[in-house]
Formats: sequence, C-alpha cells, structure tokens
Amino acid sequence: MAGNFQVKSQIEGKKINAELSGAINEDASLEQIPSGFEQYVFDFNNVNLINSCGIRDWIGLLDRLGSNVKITYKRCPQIIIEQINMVKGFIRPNTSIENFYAPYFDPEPDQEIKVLIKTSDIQNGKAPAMKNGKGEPLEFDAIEDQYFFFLKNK
Amino acid sequence: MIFRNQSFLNLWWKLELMSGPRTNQPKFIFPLKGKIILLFSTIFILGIFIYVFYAVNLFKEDKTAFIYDATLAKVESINDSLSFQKNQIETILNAYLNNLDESRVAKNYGESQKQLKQAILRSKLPIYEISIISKSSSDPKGLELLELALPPSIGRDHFRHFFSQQDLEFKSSSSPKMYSDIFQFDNEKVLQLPLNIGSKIAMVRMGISGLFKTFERQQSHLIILFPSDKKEQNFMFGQREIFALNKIKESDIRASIWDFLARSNTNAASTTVTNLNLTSKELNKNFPVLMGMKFNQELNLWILALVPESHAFKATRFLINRSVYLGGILISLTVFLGVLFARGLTRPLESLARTASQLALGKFGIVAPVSGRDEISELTVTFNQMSQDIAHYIGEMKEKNRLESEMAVAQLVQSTFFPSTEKNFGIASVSGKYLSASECGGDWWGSLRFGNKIVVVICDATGHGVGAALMTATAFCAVRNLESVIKDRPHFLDHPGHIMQYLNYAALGMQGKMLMTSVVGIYNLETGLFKYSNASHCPPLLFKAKLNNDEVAKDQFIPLMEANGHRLGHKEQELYDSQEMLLEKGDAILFHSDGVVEVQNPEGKPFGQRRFIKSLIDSKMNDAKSIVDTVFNDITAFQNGQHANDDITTVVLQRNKICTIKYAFYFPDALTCDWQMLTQILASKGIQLEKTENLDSAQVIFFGLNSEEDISSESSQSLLNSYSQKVYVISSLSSDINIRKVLTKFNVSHLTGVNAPNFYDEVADQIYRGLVGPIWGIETYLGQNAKVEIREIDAVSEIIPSVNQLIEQFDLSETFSTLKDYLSTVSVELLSNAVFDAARDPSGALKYYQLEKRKDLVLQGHEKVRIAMGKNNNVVALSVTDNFGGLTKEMLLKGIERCLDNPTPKSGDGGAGMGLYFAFSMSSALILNVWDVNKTEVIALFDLQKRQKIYKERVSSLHFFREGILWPGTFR
Repeated sequence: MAGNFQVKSQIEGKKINAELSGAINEDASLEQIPSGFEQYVFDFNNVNLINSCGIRDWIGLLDRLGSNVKITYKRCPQIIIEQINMVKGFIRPNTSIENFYAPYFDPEPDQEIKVLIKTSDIQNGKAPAMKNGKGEPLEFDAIEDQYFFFLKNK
Repeated sequence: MIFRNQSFLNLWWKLELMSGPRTNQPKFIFPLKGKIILLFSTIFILGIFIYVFYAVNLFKEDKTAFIYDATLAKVESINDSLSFQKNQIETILNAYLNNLDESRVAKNYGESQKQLKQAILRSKLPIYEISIISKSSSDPKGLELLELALPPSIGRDHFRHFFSQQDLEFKSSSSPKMYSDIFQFDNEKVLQLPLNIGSKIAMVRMGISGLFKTFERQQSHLIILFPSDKKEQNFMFGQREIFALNKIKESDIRASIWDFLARSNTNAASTTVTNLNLTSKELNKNFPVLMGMKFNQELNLWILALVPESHAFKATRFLINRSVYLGGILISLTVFLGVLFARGLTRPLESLARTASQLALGKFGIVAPVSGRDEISELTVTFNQMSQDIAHYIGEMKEKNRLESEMAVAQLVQSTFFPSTEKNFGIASVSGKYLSASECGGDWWGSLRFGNKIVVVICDATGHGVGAALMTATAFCAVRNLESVIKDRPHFLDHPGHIMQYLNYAALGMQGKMLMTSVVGIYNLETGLFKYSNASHCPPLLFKAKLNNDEVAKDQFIPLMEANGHRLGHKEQELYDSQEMLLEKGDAILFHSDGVVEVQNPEGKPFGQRRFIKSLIDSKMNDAKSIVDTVFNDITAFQNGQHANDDITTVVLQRNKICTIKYAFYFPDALTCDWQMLTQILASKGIQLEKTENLDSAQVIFFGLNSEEDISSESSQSLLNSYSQKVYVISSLSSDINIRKVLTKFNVSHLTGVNAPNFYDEVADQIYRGLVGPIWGIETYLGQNAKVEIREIDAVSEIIPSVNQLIEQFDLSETFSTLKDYLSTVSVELLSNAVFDAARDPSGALKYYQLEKRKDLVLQGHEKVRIAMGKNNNVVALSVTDNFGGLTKEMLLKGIERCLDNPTPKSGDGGAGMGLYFAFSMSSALILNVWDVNKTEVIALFDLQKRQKIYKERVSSLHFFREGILWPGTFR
C-alpha cells in the first residue's frame, strides 16, 4: 500500500542506482536523489503509488537532473507504466525503460501474472511471448497499443 | 398704428397648421375679437347703409321734389312775372292811352304822354319803348311811339331802326300775329309784347335781361324763353356756363328741346317738369337735365328753366359723399371702439384660450388670471377650478395607475411563485391550479422534489389582496429556502411537522397581523409513504384506488383529519404533528383551499363539499392533471359568471397507476440494443417503457454511437443540441472521442459504454436513479446488502493511510491485481481534490487551492470530506464526498479534456490538475453528483474483472446528476 517515499542509493562512480519505495506523491522527498551524476538508474519495483503531484515532482526532478544525464527506469510496476503512458514528460529522450512489469494471464490457474519484461523484447509493439511453468502460452492481458504506448511517447 | 400690431393682424386671421395631437383644430380660426368687431362694424355699416340709402333716397326724392318744385316755381315765377308785367303794362296803357287820345284832341298830348311815361317809370318796368299802333285804317300813320330809357349798351338808333321795321311789318299785316317775340341786342334781351289796348295795339318792348338775371341769380337754372314759332334767332338763353363747360352748345340745347316738344305730348297749357337728355354733338354724350316748362298763352311764349341733373343733385351727392366720409369715419371709430371694447371683452377669453391650450398640452393645474366681474370671469374661475381639479385627478389617476401597475407587477411576481401546473415524476404526479379572486391572491401552492422525496405545500393566507399576497410571498420564499435548510437539517424531509414549524417561524415575522393555514405533505417516491401535517387548513382528502377497478365512489374519499395544529403565524414554538400512510398505485392526496367549496353561483349557493366530491368522481381519478382540470371546469360552470369571493386552489398528488417513461432511440444500424431486456429490468423497478417516435414527448432518448460519423451528421448534431437534457448516449467509441466530441460539445449528462458488463442494469439504474433517486452514496450502486466502509478525512496526512485501510477491507483477489493500484490512485486523487480544491472561504474563493500540497492541512470542523468504499459481486465502488458542492460537470469535463490535449501536470503550488483524468481513465464509470454549493460526490466504479484486458477494453461511462430542490420542470 501507498506509504512514505524512500530512496536507497548506490553510487558507482558517475552512476547512481536509486531504489525507490513507497508513494511518489506531494510528500515524497525527491531531494533525496542527488544531482551531479551522469547516469541514474531508478528502480521502481517498490513504488506502490504515484499520484499526479508525485508525477509533477518527478518531472521536476528530471528537470533538475538535466537533459545531459542518462536516466534508466527499471522494474516499473504496471501502475507506473500506465502513468508513464498517460503523462507526458515522464519519459524524456535521455530516459529509457529497461524493464517493466506486464500483465499476463495464465489460463491454467486462471489468474493474472505480472511478468517482468525487457523493453528490448518488445518487437513491433507486440508483447513478448511468455509461457507458464508448464510451457503453456500466457496471454498478454493488456491492450498492446495502449500498454506499450510509452515506447512511442518520448 | 394698429395695423402694425401683430396681435391685431393675428386677430383677424389666424392660420393654424394642423400638427400633432391637435388634429381636430380647425385650419383657420376667426378670432372672437374679430367677430365682435365685425359684428359691430356690420351692424353699424348696415345701419349706415340703410340710413344712408334710405335717407339719401329720401333726401334725393325730397331734393328731387324740391328741385322739381324749384324748377317749376321758377318757370311759374317767370311766367307770373311776365304776366304781371304784361298786366301791369296793360293797366297802365289802358289807363293812359285813352288820355292820349283825349289829350290829342285837347291839345295836351305832351302832358298826357308825360304822364304815361311817369306812370311807366313809377311802375319800374324795364320798358324801353312802346309803339302804339292804331288798328283803325283811317289813321294813316297809326303809330305813336313812346320812347323810354334804354340801357346804355343799346343804341337808340339801332333799336329804333329795328323795331320800326317790326312796327311797319305789324301795321302792314292784315292779320298781325299777336305773339311775343324776343330779341337779343348785345347783352340785352328785349321782349316785344303786343297788347290789345282798346282799339290800338301797343307793342311794348321791354328788357327782360333783368328777368333772366333775377331768376338766374342762384345760377341754378338756365332760363330759356322762346316764342311759339320757335325761330332760332328768338331763342333766348340765359346763363349757360355749366352747359358750356360740358360742351353743350345752344344748338344742342335747342335741338334737344325742339325734339322733345315734337315727341312729347306736352299740354301747352300746363306747367311740367321733365327729364331731358341734352346731347352733346361734340362729345357725343348725353347730358341729363331737369327741365321745367310753361307756355304762356297770353304772351305766346315758352318759358323753360333747365338745370343739369348733376348740378341739381349736387347737394344730394354732396350729402352722400359726406355721409360716406362720415360713415367711414364712424366705421373706423366703431372699429376702433370695437377693438377697444372687444379687447376688453376678449382679452380674458384669449387668456383663457391660451391657458386652455396649455392645459391641452398637458400643463395641468395651470390657471388663467381672473379679471372683471362678468360671465367671462365666472367662466375663468370655473376653468381654473377645472384645471386644478384635472391636475388633482391626474395625480390621483397617476397614483391609481401606479398602484394598478404595481398590482400588475405584484400579480406578475406572484404568478412566478407558482409551479408549472403539472409534473410527472414517473412514480408520482403532482398537478395544481390556482385562481385568484382579485389581482393578488392569498392562496399559494408549491411542489418540490428533493432526492426521492416530493414535498407538496398548500397555503391560504387570511383574506386576499395585497396583504394576503405578501403572506404567500413569505411562504414561497420560506419553502424555496428549504434547500439550504435541508442541508443542515436533512431530517426535515422525514417529518412534515418540521417543515410546518419552519413555515410558522417565517409567518411569525408578520407579528400576527396576517395568519395562514397550510398543509405540508411529503411523499417518498421509493417507499410510497406519504406524511402530512396540517395547520388549520381544509383537511386534504385521501383517495384510495380500488385494485383492478376503475370505478370511483364517494366512500373512496377519506378526509385526513389528524395532525392538525394552529394557523401559521399564530403561536410561537408551535409543534406540528404528522400522520403517515402508504399510497398504493392510483391513490391520491387532494389538497384544496376553502375557496373551492365556498365559491357561489349567481343564486348564492355554495359549490359545497358534495359537488366537490362529485366532481372528483366524474374525473375518474385517472391522473392528477385531469382531476384538477375537471374540478376547475365544474367550478367555472357552477359559478356561471359569478365572481368568486375567495381564491380557489386545488392540488393533487397521485401515485401513478403506471409509471411510464416514453422513450425514443436514435441508433445506428451497427449498434443494437435489446430493448426488451431493458424494458424488463425497468419493469422490475415499476417503470414501464413506452416507445415513441416523438422526440418532444419522449422523456428519454437513447442515442447510439458506433463511429465518429454518427456524431458528425447533421441530424445527430441537431438532436444532441435540441434534446441533450434527455439523451442517454450509448457509445462504443473511445473515451477520448466521448469526452471531446460528445460530452464537452453537447450538454449530455449520461454516457454508457456499450460493452459495460452489466450494460442494461447500468442503463436501467441510471434511468431509475434519475427518475426516482436517490443519487447519493455508493449504496445505490452496490445494493442494500453490500459492504460499505466509510472514512472521514480531516487532514491531508490521513489520506493515504485511510485509503490503504479501506482497500484492505475488501477481498480483491479475484480481480486483476492492478485494480488495487487503481483504487489507491483514484482515491488519493479524489481526496486530494476534495481536501485542497473544494473548501471555500466566506467570499466563495477557494480556500486551500493555492496551498502547497505538502502542507499537512487540517480541515476545519464544518469542512467535511468523506470517502466510502464498497463492493458487490460486480463492482468496487468508491466515493469521495465534500460539503462544498463546488465541482461542476463542466469543470470535470474540462479537466479531463485538458489532460487529453496535454497530459502534463500543471505547474505551481496548486494541484497538478490530473486527478480527475486519472479517475476517469482508471475507472469503469465515473459519476458526479452535485448539490450546488452544498455537496459534491464523485463516485468511481470499477468492474470486477479478472482480465485486465477486458477491463481496459470497456468503454468508460460518465454520468452527471444534479441535486438540490428540484422544482417541477427539472428531470435529473
């Protein structure tokens, strides 16, 4: 559930890996993310909420970091992807999404599975084919044009 | 002098141009002054003329007679004079001629001759000589001459020589003519007069110039003497200057006289006066004269006296001229005096006329100066009184008009107090009619709907007229303010006695000067329960319909006698009881004022309760409007022209036997709808769908959208523009198109995605909700048995924890996992909006909008934000409610559209402006309930789907409901 925003950073020279958790909202202290690095990798795996004010602040963060830095998003939850698709400015020319969670449906247990897929695995706007443990194909449980919209929306 | 006076000129002739309102003004006005002057002048002139004419004629006649007499007298006088002279001479000669003979014998002839001369001298006759001619033949000489003095101008010798010739001729003639002759010797006229004196003939030659001179002394007549033989040379004229002046010659005169004598039958013996025209040959013109003529037979002499008529009537003409001049002077004097008099007479009239003109131009109250003591001054006084009276009456009329105008305005204003005569709420109908006994009445009725409750109020203020109307205004305003009262006191809708107490409080403001009776009824559309409270009003009638039997009988009407309290405005702290009953289908409540049963016909009989019930029975009690119409028609017929003494009001609240909704549909072929399914679902809710082709009479129009062309066609545009308020859009298009091209362009309040999992339920529910209600709360979407959790939010810091808490209450394991994220995101967004963007300060400005969102805002006590979350088998529902009512449909659509155009957060300290966009995008259906300035509720519904794809493929629905007092005429 949504909660306090936290950043766990790991610096590798001019690169910083920031593991984000909690809710990115108006209360999130994005100042925790320092400027000055050449490369930023943001791990959204534990982000459970991002609201419109959080998005605005995040865009402000991106402005602060500058357009010369290289920013990578990884392990983006579906909600983040959906909001990336809905909001302009989340993805910049210097921003890329390394991987993200996509919904698949496993017909056998008849339930949804969140599968972490790589952006590079998406070819021609199609979700990569996935199989369950039994080797049965999983059904991509989203509208591809909609879900992968961020790939065009830079 | 007076002609230089413009007013004088004007008084003679006024030329009035016809213009403006004085179209009846004569073109030419002849002033009174002129008339008076004209009258005076006419009378005087007429008198003068009559006098002059008569007098002059008289004078003329008199003068003519005088002249005639004078002329006649002249001629007579001349004749007499000549005759006298002749006689005198004869006498003398008779006396002395014998002496001469005797003296001849006696040889004293000389002495006798001397005596004769002396006798002649003594006679003073102008005898120049007498030739005595003897008639005896024995006397060879027979001539004696008696010479007397001659005038110096006549030479003796010449005289003697001439007359000796005459003597010789006479003597030698055997029958000498014994007629006179006249001769002209230079300037002397000589008359030769033969006289028989015994045996002798005396030729007397005497001067008659003196005679001419004597009778021509006044130079009035021209004396003419001529012997009967009319020899030209013997024609003696007297003074003829006048004739000469007029170029009348002697020859002209002579010719004219001879001509006249030849033509006329004049008796030579008579004396006459005649008119003669002398003709001037030179001038070839006539010269009229008056001629007196006499023939002296003794002397054989014509004696004429001529006088020119112009000369003769000179005096007359003189008199006429003088009369004319005098008349002119007198007329002028008359006019002058007339002007003076008229002025004095007409000045007050002119002043009055001027004042009257001013009065006619609208200067009421103007007065004219009063002068004199006559009828005109009396008229002026009366006029002044009239003018002032008119001013007074005008003032009173203005006041009356003002009062009538104000009464008309009051009547007009009061007419706005009344609702439209008939309103069908589907489940129930309310119809009413009111007829005032005067311009403004003391009855009032109103009907309002709040949620699923219908409130009916009927009032009757004491009396009628302006005072009673003011009382009804009090009732109207009080009921109208119920909207804000109910906000803080929602229990008012549970108990009509509360509303009655509230009305009583309002009526007490009249301090007991006016009282009012009233009945308040509240009908619950959902439960069918009717409650009423009575403040000494005519008890309403309950009509109980018979099941499966349309016959109406008297015993079906039950007067509701309970729950009666004091009149409104009578007693403070009055508590009003209420009674309740269930209305089945077809049952009705009949409210009326006492004027209904008390109205009289021309015979003075009242309509009465019996006729009232009969009228209701005759109406068959089928629908509220026909019931009211039947009662009023029967009352009108009963009155038969008799004016009502009291206001008449009848109101009917009836639970419809059948709740029918007329619907039409406008569907493209590619889109289908199972109307039967929809009909069944609505029927289960007590609503009957009735199809109609008439878009005007349809209460719902289903509009299908399958492609953009379905919107862009002209017919679609026209329909959406004309009937947006009753259009239910069923769309298969994307949310983007639905928002941009349907909801923001047309004032449509309902859009359902065609692929909604419970499409028909959703449509039926929204129709029912709009018709019956209630609209508030997610319970209406989840059903009574659904689990609903509610949290009150007092501070920003409570938002996320409350949302997390709520979501944990519900098992969402059977749904796609992101649903929780949707719930969380939408809840947080809606709560943030409610907390930061809803609250207003007393001026109406947003109180917390500009606050930085990080601020840990704590709401004040009266600022309520509530989140509710619930779930049934089909949906998860959440609602966020605030008590400010600031969010409108337009704001919501605008917010979403902005983000569709430019999906970037707003910068600045306020919100990011994307919350509603997220709510719409992430939910299956978004519902906005607004009670203006009072309350806002945003409900988001999330279809419970296992498959996110299916969830995402669903076209989102949007519904808007507006709450508040719904005066009849509003269909939500």
